[in-house]
Amino acid sequence: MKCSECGRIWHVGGDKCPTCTAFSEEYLREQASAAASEAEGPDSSGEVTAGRGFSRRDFLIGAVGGGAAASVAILVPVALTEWIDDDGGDGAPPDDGGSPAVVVATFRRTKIASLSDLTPGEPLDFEYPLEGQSNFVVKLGAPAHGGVGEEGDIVAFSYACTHMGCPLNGLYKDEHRILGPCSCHYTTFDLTRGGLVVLGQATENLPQITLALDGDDLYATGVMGLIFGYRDNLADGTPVEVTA
Amino acid sequence: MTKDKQGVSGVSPGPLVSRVPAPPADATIKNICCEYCPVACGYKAYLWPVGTEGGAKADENALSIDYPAFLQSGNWPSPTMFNTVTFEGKPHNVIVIPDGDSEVGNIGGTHSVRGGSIAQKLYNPQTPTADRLQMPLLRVRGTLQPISWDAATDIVAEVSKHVIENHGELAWGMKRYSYQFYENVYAVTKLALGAIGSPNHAPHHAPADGDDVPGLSDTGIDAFGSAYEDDREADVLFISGSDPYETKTVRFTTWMAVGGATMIYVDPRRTFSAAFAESRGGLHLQINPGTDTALYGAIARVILDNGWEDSEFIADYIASSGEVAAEGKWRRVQFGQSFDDFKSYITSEPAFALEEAARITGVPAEKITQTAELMTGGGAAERPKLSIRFEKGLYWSHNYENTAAIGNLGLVTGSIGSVGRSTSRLGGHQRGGQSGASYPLDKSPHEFEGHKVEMDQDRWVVQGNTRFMWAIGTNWIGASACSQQISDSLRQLIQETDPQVTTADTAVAIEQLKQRVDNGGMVFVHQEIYPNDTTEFADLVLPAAAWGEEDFARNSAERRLRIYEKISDPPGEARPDWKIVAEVAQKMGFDGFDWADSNEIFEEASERSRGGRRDYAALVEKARAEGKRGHDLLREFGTQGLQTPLTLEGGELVETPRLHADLKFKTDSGKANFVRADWSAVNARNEILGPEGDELWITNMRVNHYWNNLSDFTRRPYTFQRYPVNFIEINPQDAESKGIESGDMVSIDSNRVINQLGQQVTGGFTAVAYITDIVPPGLASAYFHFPRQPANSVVSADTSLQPLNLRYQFKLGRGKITRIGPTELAERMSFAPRNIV
Repeated sequence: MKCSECGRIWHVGGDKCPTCTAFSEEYLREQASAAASEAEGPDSSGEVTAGRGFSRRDFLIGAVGGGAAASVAILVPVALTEWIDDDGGDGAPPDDGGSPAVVVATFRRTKIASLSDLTPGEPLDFEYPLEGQSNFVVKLGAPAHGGVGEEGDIVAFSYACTHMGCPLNGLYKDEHRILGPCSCHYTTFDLTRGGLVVLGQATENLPQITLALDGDDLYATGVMGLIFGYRDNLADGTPVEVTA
Repeated sequence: MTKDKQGVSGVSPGPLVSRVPAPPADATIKNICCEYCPVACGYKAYLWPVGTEGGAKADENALSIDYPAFLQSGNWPSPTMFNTVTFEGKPHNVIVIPDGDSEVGNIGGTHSVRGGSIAQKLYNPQTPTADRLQMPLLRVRGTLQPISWDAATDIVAEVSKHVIENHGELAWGMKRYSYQFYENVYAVTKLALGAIGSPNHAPHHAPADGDDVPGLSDTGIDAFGSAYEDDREADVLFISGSDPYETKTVRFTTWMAVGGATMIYVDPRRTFSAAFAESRGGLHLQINPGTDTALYGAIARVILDNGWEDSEFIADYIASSGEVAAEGKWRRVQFGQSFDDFKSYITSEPAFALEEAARITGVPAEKITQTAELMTGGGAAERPKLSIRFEKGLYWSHNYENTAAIGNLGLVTGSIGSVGRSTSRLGGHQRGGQSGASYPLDKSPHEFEGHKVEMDQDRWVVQGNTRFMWAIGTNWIGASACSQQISDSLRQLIQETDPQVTTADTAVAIEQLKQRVDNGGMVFVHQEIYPNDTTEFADLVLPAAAWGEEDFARNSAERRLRIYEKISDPPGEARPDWKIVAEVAQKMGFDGFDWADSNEIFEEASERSRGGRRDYAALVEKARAEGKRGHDLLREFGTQGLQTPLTLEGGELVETPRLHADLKFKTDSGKANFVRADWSAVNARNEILGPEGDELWITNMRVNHYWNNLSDFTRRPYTFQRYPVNFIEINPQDAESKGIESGDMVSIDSNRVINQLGQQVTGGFTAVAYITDIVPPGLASAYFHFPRQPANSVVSADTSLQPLNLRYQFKLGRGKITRIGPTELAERMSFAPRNIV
């Protein structure tokens, strides 16, 4: 096997490089092809279904208002890429309108936890908005940007390091309210500051899952920032099941 | 669905982007390298016309990935890697992404935050890059006004001729980058050092031309002889005065950290790199500022006392005292030592005795002994493969002695010339310094004991001797020690000496500028991509085109030569430096500046590269033999490039992975020698420069998110959100005594700054306090080159303290810290620890 990171060759001892612990190229290829065939599912056309009745192509057209606007994508705030059902459902057009002909997908409000289940300093995991997009919600014990709850300290973030996608699971450090350093290239994120990089190599803040609290129910309502690996947080995958 | 705004209130203003289009399968692909640190990672630029995009399947996009990209695939274009530019006159989307296929440098497409966000460097009027300089500007009645290129180059040529004819070559100065691309450096030095022949010439980081690491050079070791592979293959890495995780990131993450070497860090600050070393069985030698020479002397003494030196290497490759005396270079003759001379000095200097060295350096005696043992194997049958690395923390302190002392460690341990055994700099910037002419040392007004040394350009300006100054690609003020003295002198010589330019009528403006020169004043031309603090004093501003806006070539820190292709049109009328200089040179009547394109310079410059570490003459010869252009042949080697020096064998190019593989050194005898690293000279300087009373050492640092003077980074919202103002690390103990908390604005002041003339003056800057145990009590550290908040203003600038080699001691500032008051940054910036491992 050949290391995807340092190039070392090895023959025994699993999928991880004995030198740098990165996965082998062979393993990554297998995973990628497994993920691709799973995403394709039964739809032999190769188009990924992005919500009930919506093809990826439809979604793309809606999200950017036509290919000509691609250059503007960098300025499009997350709130514009929202999620609606094929019947119009409970989605709403963005506040700033736009042409009624433009199809707009929205994030769906999904219950992710009960407040009473949250133990301060202990992350609870959930997937959102697509299956496989792994996130956590945590009560930090100090006010945080985007925090909800009485103390404004409940926040949720993606687990995928925005540098090269390595999982950050298990790396929450309650003393400093940071996540990291990532085991691959040591990036650390400040969870009280919207996932800002404290030190490290990621070119994006850690995507923050926006939250809403209704009584004891904690809802995910959207994502700020692009999740590692995706060209759109709502494309190229299967949406998670919505829990009201 | 009810929209709930609660969740997003108060979120920090980062660039929050929903999607990045995939490049279509037929996108244009260009080879380019990162612009910043010397690791020089390979990148690809994908360009395609706005209005189209690729699909989610590997065969539908040029990245050949199936979205979503898998982790570690090195092929995920993040939002920061995406931009829109004008290319070949048409709007194009562009993704600048690490080369996921790279097998050298950034293997597998890894990157730092600096390089990973480099797409945002490209000019796009919809982003904060909108203020790029785009037209030549002339200061008329105090205001910079657009003029034509023809008028601008007329002014430079006419005033230059007038100054040289009437006030001599020494009155004509150039301050310029030393690291830019071969083509630009060659062109500007061909004019300044060759055609004009003025010694009034200095690189961006020093007041004088000359070797940055003279002590090491005098041992005969090349400063850039090693390969990144040596970092990975070493058993022990000894790293002094550098924080590679923050400043040479990929060299750390891909080479140093994965090889399993025992790391020994010498740094007054407990950085991430230092903490990382300790967490993995290595050592952090938390040294007192300015005491490296004592530490390395003490390590050498432990080695010699125990007989742990590499006797075989020393016997075969170290020059005798007779051979040293026969060397042609006076410094080597004066300071060079045979092994016996070295041993005699090391074992007789009281400061190098273990307990005394521990007292001086602050490094416990047992750690010094442990270090000597780790570096040599402590007498074990097989010596560990040791690589020694250093950078500005070492040589921006006591330049000659420190670089000699570390070179001596390389020699006494035989760490040179084979895989994993090497002694070299880590490098500050990439290696583009191919000069177009030799420095005219004989014309320098400065001497040391009868030997000419390079001229101190800043001192010359402060003395009022320079009448014309051309700064290219640098914020001269912030980059100089005693920064305020430079700005005071510029104000006096430029703005307070009559006449000022009152009209853009070129002929009248030229006459007015000539008159000011004759009245004892100065004319100042600033050539840049963005205005900076120094531009405030410019009479004339020339807009430059740089990285990604022209085909260029440059070397990395392991001498890897690559092409940097054009991926964007320059903004407005901005021109590459070579073109600006060529037009001025021709107007001044000089021959040899009629290049048609950058490739012609690349080919011409290859002649002057012969015999050196960047020798690529063989590449150009091969290209010519094959009827190709030099740039085009280099392009064929992609982001992998070629490691120089190159030779041709049987028509094929042969690379040089590491220098000194033949154990030949850069001396007349071919043997290496030790160099006297005089502790008494260092100690005397420390007594002059050190803090007293409630002063602290004010040292400067580099940080992961930023590169150099921030010209790009202040215009990059993603990275600039991290430190929106300069910050200063203060130990909790020092902070508590002054009632300072993280997020408070503080003033750092000194009334004991020694200026370029040896006079005591005042200096100061502000910064936001970042309370941290990275710094020990008694030492505070600020970013070294932040706009408007120049940390170098509390650094002394008297180069007569180091008369051998005129360098500023940037790491040895001093000052008092006063709390100004709280700021909202306390809530916005992160003050989380930066050294958690």
